[in-house]
Amino acid sequence: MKSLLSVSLLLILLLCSSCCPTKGYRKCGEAKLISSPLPAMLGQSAGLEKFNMKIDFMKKHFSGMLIVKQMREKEYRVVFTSHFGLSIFDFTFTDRDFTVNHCLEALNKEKIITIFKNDFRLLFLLNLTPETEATRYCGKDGEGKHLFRIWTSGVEGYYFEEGDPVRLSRILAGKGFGKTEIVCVRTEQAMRESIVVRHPRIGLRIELENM
Amino acid sequence: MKTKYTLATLLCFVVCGVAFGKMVKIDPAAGFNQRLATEAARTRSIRSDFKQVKYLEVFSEKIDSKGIFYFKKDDKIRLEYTTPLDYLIVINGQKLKIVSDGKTNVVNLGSNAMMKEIKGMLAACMTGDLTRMTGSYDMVYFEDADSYLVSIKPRSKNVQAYLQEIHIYLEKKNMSVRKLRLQENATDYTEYQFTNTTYNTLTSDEKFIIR
Repeated sequence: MKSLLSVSLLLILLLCSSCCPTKGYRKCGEAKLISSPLPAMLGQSAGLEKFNMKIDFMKKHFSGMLIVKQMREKEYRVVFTSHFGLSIFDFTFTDRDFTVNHCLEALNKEKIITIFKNDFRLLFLLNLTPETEATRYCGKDGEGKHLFRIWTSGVEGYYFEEGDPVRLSRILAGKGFGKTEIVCVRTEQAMRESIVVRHPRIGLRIELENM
Repeated sequence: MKTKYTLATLLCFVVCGVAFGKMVKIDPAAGFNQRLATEAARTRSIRSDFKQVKYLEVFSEKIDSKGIFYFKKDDKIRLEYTTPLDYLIVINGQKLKIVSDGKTNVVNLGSNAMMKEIKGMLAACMTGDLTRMTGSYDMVYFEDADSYLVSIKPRSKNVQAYLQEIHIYLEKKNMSVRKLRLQENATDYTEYQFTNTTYNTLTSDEKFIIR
């Protein structure tokens, strides 16, 4: 009985430690998050950016071209077209507004648009406001590894930065069905960098590969 | 009244002249339909290189793709994209297969009336066999010394949501499709240019198999 209790406690400890995003980090201050020192994962180029956007949902795979342009400061236009050429959606967004310029009827549903809205804001604008305050954590085993723990609209978010030069490598945000994980992946084979957006609760995976 | 009518007619010709260069409007019953039917009856298969250009007004940018187009009577089509990435579309009867990023999706188009109509329309336009068009359209015909141009406007509001107008340019010498433009709205379009076309060289259905 005693050993069963120990095993259970160990298991709980193990689970808690493995799921805690701050594991491997120590608290090292407070920070006010503005666009610097946290550059967004995408949209840093002044010109047109093209991505092969792969969507996996309900065991179906779909891909097309995502074309992105920063129209003015903190305003982006994203157009998604099939490789065959037909436009699927066209959105304009800032940190405050989101406009659907065009969207195929099958996708033009509130829940779907909300997913795209949140994902694009996280990817291009980090979904932060100038007032966002964060607790800063430093990596225990390496310089340049930082984690920012923030609260936005009552929801916790974790922004990880690392590397040389230091850059954002991972974001954990939202809760419940809105839980989102964004990871920067470098595939050695293709020598290309891609961004993977996962929505574990709804089984949706979106990958953006530079073209 | 007569002057008004003449002016309106003149204006109409001017507008058409501006829209389609030096092409003049023709009556398809006066030879065009007969020639098209004769050439279509002779064609058992087509193989052609294609260059696809997607134009988006908002970015003032053209996005190029390239590949190989195959057609085999009666209803088999294969679009093999090679640039900027590998992407494959196969239509065989009511089935559509898409292969992207090494993953295959098969869709039955028979269950969706609108998709079925779009498929029929695109197949007819890419092969130049307009006698195969299903659904209802408004068609206007033009010609110059070397080419015919057929302007097609779908009447269905549902189809118009995808395609506002289609322009097909056919070579007069053999009625082959030289250029196809899918106009999504007043400014955005996808254009396909077909070159190195060969006829009746495909002997098997291998390229069109959908499993």
